Amino acid sequence: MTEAQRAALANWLAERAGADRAVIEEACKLSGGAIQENWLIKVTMDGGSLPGLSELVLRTDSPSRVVQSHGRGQEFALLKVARAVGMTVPEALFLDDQGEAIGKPAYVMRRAAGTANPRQLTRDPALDPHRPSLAENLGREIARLHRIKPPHAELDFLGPAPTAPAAQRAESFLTELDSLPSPLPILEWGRRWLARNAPPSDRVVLCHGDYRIGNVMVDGAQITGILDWEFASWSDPMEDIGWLCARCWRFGVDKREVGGVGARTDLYRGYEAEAGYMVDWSSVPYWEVMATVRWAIIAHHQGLRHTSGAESSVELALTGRKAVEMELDVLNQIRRIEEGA
Amino acid sequence: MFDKPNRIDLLETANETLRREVLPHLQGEQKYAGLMVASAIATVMREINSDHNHQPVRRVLDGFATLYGQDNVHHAGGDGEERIQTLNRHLVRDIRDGEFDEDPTGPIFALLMEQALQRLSLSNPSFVEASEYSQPNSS
Repeated sequence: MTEAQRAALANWLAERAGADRAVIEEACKLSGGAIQENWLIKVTMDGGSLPGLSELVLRTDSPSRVVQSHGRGQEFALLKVARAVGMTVPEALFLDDQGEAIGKPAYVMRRAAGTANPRQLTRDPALDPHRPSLAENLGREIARLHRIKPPHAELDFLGPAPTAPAAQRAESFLTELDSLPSPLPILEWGRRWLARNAPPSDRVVLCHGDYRIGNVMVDGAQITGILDWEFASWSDPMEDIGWLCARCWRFGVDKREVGGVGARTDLYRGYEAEAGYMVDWSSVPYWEVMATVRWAIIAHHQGLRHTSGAESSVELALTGRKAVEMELDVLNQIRRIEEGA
Repeated sequence: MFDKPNRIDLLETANETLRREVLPHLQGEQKYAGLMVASAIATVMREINSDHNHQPVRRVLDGFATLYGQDNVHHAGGDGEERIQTLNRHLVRDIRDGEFDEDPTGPIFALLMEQALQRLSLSNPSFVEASEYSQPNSS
């Protein structure tokens, strides 16, 4: 961030907070935003709604963004709606939809304490005694979000709710596969299977769309914030469960089926306790296939962002190469389901 | 190109130096970036080593011959990899047309599995052995 950007940001924050003065003490880019950039902003303000020293996170677009993801204003609205139903999300503070502060759309939220680092959350032995409650709380958190049903006045930008979320999601992959330069027969085959085996959905709710370890801030063993709302949509609630539990999001700790951090029974117990009714989990294996196909397609697109020259990055390049791992998983997952059928 | 050490020697030495002398001094983001670089170099070394090994391409083409017949594989033309691209375009069209709907885990499955395994033998052989997702920060 240049000096000029820091000064503009300080002015903008002071104005929004109604402060006499704002001084940026520190501005450093945070890790882990392949699609968005996140900056930790330490700011001291005189007066206004945030007097004294505050730790904020500024979220803005990365150099090349994914077309399907929501803009910052929409994410800001999602954070507010999620917070209103009691989900643990960072407090969204100020929105800069026009890019006045740093030249591109951005918003600031309060920084959530702890870490979202998957390696730490999946492997730290200190977490082991707390894993049942962590998994249970992951269930409770997402069950709260899933109370939100369409239509919703503040979420018009999500468009009409799908009548058949699984079939429509599978259909949407066609365009995404067509926009990749190479034919990908394994993903085409997986997508075809998803389209032909789509389960009916009895509930369509607000889904986070990227609910997984890496997007959950944890402090000690407490969830302090669910992050990264750019893929939220109306869908079948089991889509979020399948994404969280799919093997490709367990970070190499396969035995813990909930994102590499906990057990499925704990997740399900927490979800049902919060929802207040028993859930039919039988479509979760299907939604795990959906998750694996979707992540593989996204990984190919991330690789393309690098190879197309849009954004040179060793991380994006390696992600593109990683897609074949998900492809093998798609084959194995579907074979297992077919053999069990 | 005839000079010694050759390209593999150079990459090996570079990666060794990176892992032994540079990575231990890195923290956080820099360490993660360093591990990704090491992982990319390892992948390139495997691919250079396999340049003279036509086995992966041949095995995929054999899979196509089983599904589509040797003649069709022959008519696809081009070198090995171009031929696979052309055949994969046909395959994708057939999948979309529902050609394999009746038996998704039948003969097509063997061909798709062969393609996944051959690609992985280059990019991440341990995924084939242990079905373990690559973790640039765990190696």
